[in-house]
Amino acid sequence: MPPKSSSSKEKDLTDEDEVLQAVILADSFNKRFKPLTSGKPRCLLPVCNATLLDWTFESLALAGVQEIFVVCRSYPELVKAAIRDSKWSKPSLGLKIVSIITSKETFTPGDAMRDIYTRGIITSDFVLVMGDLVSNIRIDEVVRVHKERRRTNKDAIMTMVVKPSGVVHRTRSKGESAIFVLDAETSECLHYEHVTGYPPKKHAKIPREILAEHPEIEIRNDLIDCGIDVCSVEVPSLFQDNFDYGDIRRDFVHGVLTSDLLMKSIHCYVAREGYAARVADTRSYDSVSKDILARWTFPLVPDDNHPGGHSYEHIRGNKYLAKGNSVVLSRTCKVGSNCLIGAGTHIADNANIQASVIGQRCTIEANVTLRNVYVFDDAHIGAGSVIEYSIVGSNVKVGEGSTVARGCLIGDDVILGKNAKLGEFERVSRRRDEGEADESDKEDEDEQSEDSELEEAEARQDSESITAIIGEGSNAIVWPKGPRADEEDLDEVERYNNQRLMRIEIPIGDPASDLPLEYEGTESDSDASERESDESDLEMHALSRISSATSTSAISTSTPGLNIHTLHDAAAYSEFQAEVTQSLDRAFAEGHSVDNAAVELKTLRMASNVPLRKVREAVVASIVERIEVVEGDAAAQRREISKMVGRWGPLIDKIGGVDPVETIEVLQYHCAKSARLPLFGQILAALYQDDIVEEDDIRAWHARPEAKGEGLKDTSFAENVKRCWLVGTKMIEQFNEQESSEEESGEEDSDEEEQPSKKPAAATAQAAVGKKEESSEEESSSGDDESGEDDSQDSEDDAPATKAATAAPSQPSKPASTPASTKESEEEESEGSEEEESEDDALAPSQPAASKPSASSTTPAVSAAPSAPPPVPAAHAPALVSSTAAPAQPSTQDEESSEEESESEASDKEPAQTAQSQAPPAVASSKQPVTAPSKAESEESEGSEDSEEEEESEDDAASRATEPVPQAQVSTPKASTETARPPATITTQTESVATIPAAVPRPRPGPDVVGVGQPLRPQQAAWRRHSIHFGDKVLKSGTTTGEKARRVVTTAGRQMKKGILTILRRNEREKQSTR
Amino acid sequence: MSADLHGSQRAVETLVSKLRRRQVVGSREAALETVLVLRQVVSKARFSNIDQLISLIRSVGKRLVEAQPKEHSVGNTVRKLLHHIREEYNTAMTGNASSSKTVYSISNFVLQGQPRKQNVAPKSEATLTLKENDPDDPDSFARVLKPVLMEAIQDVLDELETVYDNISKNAKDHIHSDEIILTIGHSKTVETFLKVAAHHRSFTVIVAETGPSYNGHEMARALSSAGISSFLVPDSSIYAIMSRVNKVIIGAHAILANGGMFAITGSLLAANAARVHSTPVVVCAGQFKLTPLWNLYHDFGALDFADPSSVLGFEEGNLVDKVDVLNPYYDYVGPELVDVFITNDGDHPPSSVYRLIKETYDDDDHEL
Repeated sequence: MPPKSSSSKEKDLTDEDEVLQAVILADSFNKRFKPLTSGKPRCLLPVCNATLLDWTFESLALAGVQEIFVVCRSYPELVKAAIRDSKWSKPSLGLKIVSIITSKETFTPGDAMRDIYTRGIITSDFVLVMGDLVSNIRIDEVVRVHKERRRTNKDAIMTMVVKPSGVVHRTRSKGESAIFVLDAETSECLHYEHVTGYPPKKHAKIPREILAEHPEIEIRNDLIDCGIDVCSVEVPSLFQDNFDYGDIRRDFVHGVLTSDLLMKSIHCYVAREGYAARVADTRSYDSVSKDILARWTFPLVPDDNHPGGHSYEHIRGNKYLAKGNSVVLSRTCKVGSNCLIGAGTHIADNANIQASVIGQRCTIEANVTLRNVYVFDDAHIGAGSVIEYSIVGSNVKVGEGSTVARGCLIGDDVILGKNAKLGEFERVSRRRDEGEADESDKEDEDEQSEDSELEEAEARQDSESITAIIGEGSNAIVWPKGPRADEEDLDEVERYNNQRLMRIEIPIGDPASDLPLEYEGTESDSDASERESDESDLEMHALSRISSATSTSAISTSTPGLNIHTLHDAAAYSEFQAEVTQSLDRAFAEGHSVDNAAVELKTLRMASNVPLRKVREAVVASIVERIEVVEGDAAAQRREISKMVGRWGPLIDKIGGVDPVETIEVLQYHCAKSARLPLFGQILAALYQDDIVEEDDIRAWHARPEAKGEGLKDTSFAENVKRCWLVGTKMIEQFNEQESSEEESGEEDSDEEEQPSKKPAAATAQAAVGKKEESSEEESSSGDDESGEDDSQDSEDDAPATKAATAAPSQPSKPASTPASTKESEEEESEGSEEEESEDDALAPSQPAASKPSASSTTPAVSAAPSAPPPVPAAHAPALVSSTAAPAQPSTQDEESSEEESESEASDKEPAQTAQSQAPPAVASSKQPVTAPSKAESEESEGSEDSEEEEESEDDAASRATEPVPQAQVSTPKASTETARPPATITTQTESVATIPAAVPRPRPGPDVVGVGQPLRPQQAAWRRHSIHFGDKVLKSGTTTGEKARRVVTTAGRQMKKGILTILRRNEREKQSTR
Repeated sequence: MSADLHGSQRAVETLVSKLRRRQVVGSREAALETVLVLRQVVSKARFSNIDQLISLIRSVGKRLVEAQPKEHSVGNTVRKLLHHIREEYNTAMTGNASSSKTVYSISNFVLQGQPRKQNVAPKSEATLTLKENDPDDPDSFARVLKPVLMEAIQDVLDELETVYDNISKNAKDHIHSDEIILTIGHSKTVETFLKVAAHHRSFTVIVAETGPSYNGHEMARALSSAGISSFLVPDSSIYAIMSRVNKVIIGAHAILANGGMFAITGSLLAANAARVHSTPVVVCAGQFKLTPLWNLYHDFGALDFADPSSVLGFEEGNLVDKVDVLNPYYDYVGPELVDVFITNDGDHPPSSVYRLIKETYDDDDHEL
């Protein structure tokens, strides 16, 4: 029997001699209930005729909480008095209630938590709830689970209680919800993202590490956050340490989960049974009241365990009438279902009351219609009035024949005159007497802002139209509607448009509902793009697809911001730099372990609050400067470098975030400035040797515009940067050589070598990719080779500058909102990553070159191959984009490369021509800048397979070439609709899971020698070695193949990590600056 | 002493809130808890005459009953205890140990009238052992009476603890070999009853699932683990299956004075089906479920509506807003549908329940 077991659990708790403590934050810290809450705190608003505080106490008492701290800010005397007079303070109940009055400067829950910490009242794990909770969840069970977890895992500091609800649910707030990423097994909360209804959120960012570390995750947006947290003792101290934590969810939870320093974890308790919800806004006031009347909160129902101590009789149709014959119902009045009528209320003839809650001692006169109205105590509704979907404060008098439309809030003591007509969503409160206003000004300094709002409202009250609204003889003032003047200062959640979603209203989906869906839609586009540019180094497009383009666009846009910032705090940075150098000097001199040095650096970074890149720069600089220069003896120099890098290299990755591409760039820039420029190549090789950077990273770096020193004005510096880049070029050549040397004839190499001389900068890139493609896929069919060449061409066009990209026809279809410049860089970047990716693809099959089909079947792409559209023609698409863009080049290029083909010349030429002949359809397909190229490239590996089968049928290939174009176009809109879907679609639980196997590691025999003459070790594709579970939807919409999905996720993940760190840093900075 | 009083007060409040919060559910559970609390109250109480004691117990009982008016066994236990206390007191006052438990029969019931009135002997102030309102030693009355009272309370407790065995003692007389029995819900009483009968007879039990709580699943599991051949059927097939059933044996939540009863949802369905097929309906229940409540027009709320979540998931957001779900926990089964009540005090037809109640409780206590 459940009660039995629970009581034994209670005993367990007490057996441990630990008093279960609870903290109620009895202040809302917002103004959603104004004007009902001018004059009393929100926690004293009645819900079903019991104050919210009573409901909260009852919820906690159910769990066997013995000590409750009530933190009050506004109107503390009222709260104190309410507690004193309530049944809860009776000693026989065994509840110890302590009210704590915090200062008026407490503006956020975070401030309150800091106050709790300084008071030192918390002695053990405690329950933290807001003062507006209605719950019958067995919190003691949550506490037990929490404590059990704590026994094994000391870092599990918090357990949040969440309740699953449907996608659409009246109790789940539209304006304020969240995406929870949970580990399916342990229900650890891996990621938390706050969601606002307006602007509608369409993207969720999920750090890649989560996907890497957890085999199965749930991404859920269908959870009601009950606002019940079981916290350990260190939670308040964490608030103390992080003085900028304001909101418990948005700042604390998000901060703890994303922090790379804290190493704490937060869990969720998904409550299958029981009910819990917060009355956070007027909409949830409505829904929670309805839930109570519909008995979802059983046994906390009016007729059974009413927290206010009233007793009600439950009659058919979920009607509750106060017991004791004090309710006077006229014989002809109608009381519909789901109504609650308090003691002493009179309802006169022909009154019609539907789904309403009426307080005590109210008078409802004849012919009144109340629909979904919440009337507080002592109200008087005049004859013939019609009120809908509104909240009427206590002691309100509504004159005869008035109408109150939906969404109105009528403050306490308001008198509305005869025939008053309140429009939708009006808020009225009582006009204060002059003297009273002055007095309250003096008394409540913290109500200043409210006063200003009130005064503003009062000032507008003279016009005639107002009288028409509130009727003759009224003492009311009408509050201003619409966004407030200081809207910009407000939290995103509190802004007007978002708050619209939180008002008491006709249920969603009702045609009469005022929710401006089309309005939301139109604004969202510009808004989304805005956000994309300013905060999103990494946007995951509703998880469904991430083109590498988006992520990179963000990087390129965010970099300028970073630069500006650099100027700003240059002084602070130089100071930091000095500190880092010092501490590293010490570490070097005293031979600290890498871990210790890393910890020291992390602390330093926290203390001076600088971005990670700065730390990286400092570390790299210190390491480079430490390397002794040995003149004349290359071998000794090499030893020196490898010693240094071997000892301290790992530190680069330990400072909190692994980003090898950035590392190389930092190294490059440092070398360009330093006297150790000649050592760049060797250091890079040493880093490569120690697996601090990998081949892919070098290629990625190499493809970045920054690496080429673009945009640098300082000529000598730019020159040096360029030199470093050329070193990188050589290195990449060597990578390629190394792969090809086994199979390639020397003749081809020489052929390749000629090219750089012709086109100094650009050709190197082309050579790098082109050669490799050819070499690796030399034995494969013609179609495959061709695609490789096309790609190389492509990258040639793109790599040096964005010329080709700009020349490409305008691409209006998909990311219409992204500015053209972003698109360019997107394209460029996607090409860049393509290079990298295509290498991977090519490499995998190349290893067991003899058995190509079987080899390629190990790549995940193949599993999806049958369902994919014909791959070969698709592979053509990107090539053709560039070929149309630069019409002169392709033909020669094709000729050239086909000449290079030692073995399959004849078969090769044909497709090349075919490719040209296909130019027009391909141009059409180039309208999808994001999907088409990347898709094409993803299908290369299949292409190799496919074309083998259809080697001879060129005609076939030609005919099919036209096919992919429409197909590609079809797939693109689909993808975009997928992304444009509202956040609710994210609720796709990962039930149908596509498992993408890990990439094949590529052992590479390495007799080859890098420029500095060091053998390369087999490269480990460790960062790819994980499996990702995704909803099948995701796969479908984003890509056609599993391979693509994998790539999308991994590149996105890498960027995402960086992006999140950047955002965090920026947020921190912003907060500090506002402070 | 005040600390003790405080302690007993505390115990009462704890039980009150447990009852309110439904942390104590089930009539036997509630009855047991009530006895324990009352024992504590009596043992700590200070009184110098019987009226003080009785009013004390009544006030405690009132609190408990108000806390959970739908858990009838709480009030029944209080009434029973009061009855016992009065009896003990009377015995002590008169000094004679005549239990005077005269046997009632329908024939002389009206003539005999109230059992208590017959028992009451004129109060003799001369009783040496027991002296009320002694000005010299106000505690003397309590001191003398308390051990007797504790014994009486212990009797009630014992009765509660042995109730299942006592009910089951005649089980083999009610169930014959190869009978098919239908039951519904998971009543401990019925479970024990059937298990005891299974020692002597072999029979088959059909258990209805009993939605939405699906207690029937547990019941079927419990019975089959005891070696009784059991079938689990959906509630919807009760009527269809009734023609094959020899007997319906169900438990009760409370037996009302008119012979009707509150029983788990679905019981009304089963009882009606049984009525149509003239299948006997046997109700197994402890005496503590006898409730002096003439529930001819039972009020709607008495059915104890629970939360809708077992009927309609809270996740069904769209429906939650549009559908009102009623989930009554009990059915009211009228006296005409019941054939016999098997209690630990013998077997009774519904028509004589009122008499049982008269015997068990004092009329003064019907309204606590």
